Amino acid sequence: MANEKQRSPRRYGRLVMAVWLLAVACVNFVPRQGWDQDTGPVVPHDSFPADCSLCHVGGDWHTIKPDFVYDHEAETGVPLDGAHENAACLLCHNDRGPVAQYAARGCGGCHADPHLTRLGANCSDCHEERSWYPRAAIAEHDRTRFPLIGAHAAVACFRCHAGAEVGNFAGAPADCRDCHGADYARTAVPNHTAVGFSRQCRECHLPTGWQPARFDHPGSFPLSLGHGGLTCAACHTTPNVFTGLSSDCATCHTDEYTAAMDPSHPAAGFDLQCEACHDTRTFSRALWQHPAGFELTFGHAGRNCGECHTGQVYVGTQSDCASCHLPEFQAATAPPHVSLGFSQDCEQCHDTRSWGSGNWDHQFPINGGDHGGLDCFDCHNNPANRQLFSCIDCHEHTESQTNDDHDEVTGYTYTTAGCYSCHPTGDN
Amino acid sequence: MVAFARFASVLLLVASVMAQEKVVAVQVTAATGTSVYLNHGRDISLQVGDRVALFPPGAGQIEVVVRSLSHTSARAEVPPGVALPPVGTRGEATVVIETATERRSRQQRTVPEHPPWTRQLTPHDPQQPLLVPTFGQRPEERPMHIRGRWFAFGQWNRDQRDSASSDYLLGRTGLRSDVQNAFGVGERTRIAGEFRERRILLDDVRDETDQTARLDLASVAFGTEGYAPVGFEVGRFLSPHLPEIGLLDGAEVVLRYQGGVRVGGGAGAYPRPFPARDSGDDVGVHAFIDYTSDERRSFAAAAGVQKTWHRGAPDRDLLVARTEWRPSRAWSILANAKVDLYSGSDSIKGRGVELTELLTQVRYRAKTAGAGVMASHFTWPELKRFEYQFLSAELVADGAVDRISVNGWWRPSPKWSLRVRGDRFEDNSRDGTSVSASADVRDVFSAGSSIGISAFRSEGSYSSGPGARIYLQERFGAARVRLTYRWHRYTLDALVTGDETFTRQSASASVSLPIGERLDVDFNGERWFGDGEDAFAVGFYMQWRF
Repeated sequence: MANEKQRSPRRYGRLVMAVWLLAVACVNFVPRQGWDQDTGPVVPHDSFPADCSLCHVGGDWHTIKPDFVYDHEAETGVPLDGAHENAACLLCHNDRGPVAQYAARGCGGCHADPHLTRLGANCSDCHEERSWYPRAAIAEHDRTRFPLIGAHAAVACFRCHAGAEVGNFAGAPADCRDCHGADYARTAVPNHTAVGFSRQCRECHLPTGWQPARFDHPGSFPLSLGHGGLTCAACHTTPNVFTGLSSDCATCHTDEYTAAMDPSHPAAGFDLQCEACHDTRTFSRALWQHPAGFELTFGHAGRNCGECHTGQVYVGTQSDCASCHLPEFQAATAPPHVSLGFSQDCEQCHDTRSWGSGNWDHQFPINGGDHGGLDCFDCHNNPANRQLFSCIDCHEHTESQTNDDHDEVTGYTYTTAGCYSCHPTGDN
Repeated sequence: MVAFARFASVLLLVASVMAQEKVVAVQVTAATGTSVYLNHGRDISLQVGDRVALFPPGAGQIEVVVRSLSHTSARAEVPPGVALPPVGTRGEATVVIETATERRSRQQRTVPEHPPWTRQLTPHDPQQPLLVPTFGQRPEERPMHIRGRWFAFGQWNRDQRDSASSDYLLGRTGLRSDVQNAFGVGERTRIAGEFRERRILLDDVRDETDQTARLDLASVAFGTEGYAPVGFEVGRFLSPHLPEIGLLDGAEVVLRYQGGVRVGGGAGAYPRPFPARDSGDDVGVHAFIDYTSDERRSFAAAAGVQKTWHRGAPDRDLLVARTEWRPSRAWSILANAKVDLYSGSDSIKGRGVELTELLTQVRYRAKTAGAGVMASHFTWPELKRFEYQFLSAELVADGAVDRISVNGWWRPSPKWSLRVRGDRFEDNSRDGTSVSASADVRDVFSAGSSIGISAFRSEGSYSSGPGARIYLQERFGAARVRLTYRWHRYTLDALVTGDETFTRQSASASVSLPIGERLDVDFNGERWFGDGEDAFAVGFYMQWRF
């Protein structure tokens, strides 16, 4: 370091000396420019008409006639557009030097470059000739490292380019944080700084607005479905503490668990692991599977738990049909289950789709043929016991006729049991 | 009878070969000193010495004598003691119409030999009329002249998506003026400054309002003329010789040598490149040399050096180089570069040399077609001076932006023009490309009207997608109206939820209204709408030149 400090002044000393020598050489050996009496008026008149009065008012060469008109494009081939249309001739044609020398440099020949040559020589890429106001600045910004999409279109230039008003656009960084550092710092919900959120705003936010934010929550707890769109504070209730929060459902959903009445989860002794029955879409529809052996299919599906588990008692509920359906059994009239002595095991005749007509399989065919269309009581004609039936009481054949038909049948008796033993399906 | 006939024939013959007099109406176009200028000259056969009768309104007839002539005007002297007739005074000149015989006689007259010319005249173009040499006035001999402009500008931007709104208001008014020879020593005094107020009204954030008055330029320059052997400027100004160093509060001198060499230097403080123009923290010296080969600037080159101190501590050591080469009227090649020299006290860059900025531009510009390529390289220099906002150590250490732009245009007819353009950028963390093609046709509905359509596509690190724009421009008298519609469909990539596509539309209108020759008023408005966007901007610009 010490050596550098020693060398540095020496180096600059040599530089200054070289510049000084060059200056001395120029001063002494190169002739200086000077006033030329033949320079003529400020504007060279070599090619002008001889009639001075065409342009000048009499008596004052410095004043152009008020009605003077000059078609610059027609006369010189150089159109004067925008503000140049009405500019005074001497603004360009003066004795700074030949106008061609300045025209060769384009706009920069006459106009000082507030951008310090950083943006090139094509001023008209951005500026209007009339007012210098940037043309289509928002659209043209697409070519830069930071297209003005979304909310950025309406933001004043000076908001990002602090030196915009003096033409200083250089070196403006294009990272979100460069302009939005203050937004990041002041955001309290959640406190981005405290949490240590990424400073790349685009990782969570769209350029169309801060909300909604799309935070990439840890994979162990994806913010899907019902957890999407929530404010951070809905779960992370301790201000600006976003670590150490358990992912157990009960951490946040104890209130819902306690308040659930159908079924009453505490009363039912349900597990606090909500995901055992629910997904994150909604609590109103549980995905719980009823224990095997009593699947909640068809008519049992979608029922309120309390319809079966009365009194908020969910354990010890009998799974036999009559435990719930005894009233229906007793009220059934077609056929009257009770009087017919039907089994209370409903599933012998019914499934859980609907009570319907039942699908009991009559042992003796009554769905067609000679015995189709009979009323139950035509056969089961003993009011004391409807399980009993009679073949001879309703049969169209009389005993004499039947006896004649069976005179060659050994062991024939004219009794119901006799009929059924030989004709279990009613066929001849 | 016969004798009379002979006499009459002789009279007719004489009359036919003798000059004829004719009375021609003239008018005074200017009056100064003891002379009046007439709107006719040799075109009506007026000759030096002719007398012209003038009839000034409200006064008696006066007689003036023609002293000098051009083809279409004449200068005539008014008799001493007679008041000058006003411009517009009518008169009559009795002129002699030259006959063919006289013309032949004059043409055959021998011309005496002119004595040798002693004055060296500049070479004369035989295609141009031969003029009486004119003589210029030195700057200090010229009258004081003030030129400049005053402007006022206002803009209101509002973003009103959903229920939130953001407003940005900016108002500016300023003056820029050049005064020539105010002190009678041929100097030029330049002053430019403005006052501005801006307001930022954002939801959930305290409103911001600030006013700034600033002086952009305030300098007096001597020897600004191209021929002046010495030029000197003092005050606040932008160095015309080394603009790369920015605004200077100080002084600069330039020595101009024959052959196009200029050498100079300056010293002073460097105001910060922000609207407040804070000055005083950074001071320095600079020197330069530049060379221009000829009037067309076929070749020009400049080199400069700057040394600055920030609050007393050494800061920037900068070399600047600039060159222009125009091998023909159509071609131009430009380049300028900044090289920073770092010493051991620069903690981030360390000791060394760095090409901080480089810009090269090649242009071809013919009558009906042109093309150009521009490439640039930019790095953030290590400065103690506050020159760049949002500057981080990482950016200073490794930040760099490279750009290249290619464009071409073709005018197949005076009405039609076609343009294409491609841009590419690359920095440490992103890169992008954009291309566009456009067609414009002029004088569609009326002279000065035009229609243009363009299509573009950009592929950036933030967004990518196609777009199109159409505009219509029409003149109504001196006023110019321009309507533009733009459509842009862009996809945001690398979002946590995957790519998302948005559509933006914008419509804008602007009216430029010249009022007289000195006043211009522009109004403009633009509205953006589409997916997630609802914003507008309205503004005006007014400028009065004097």
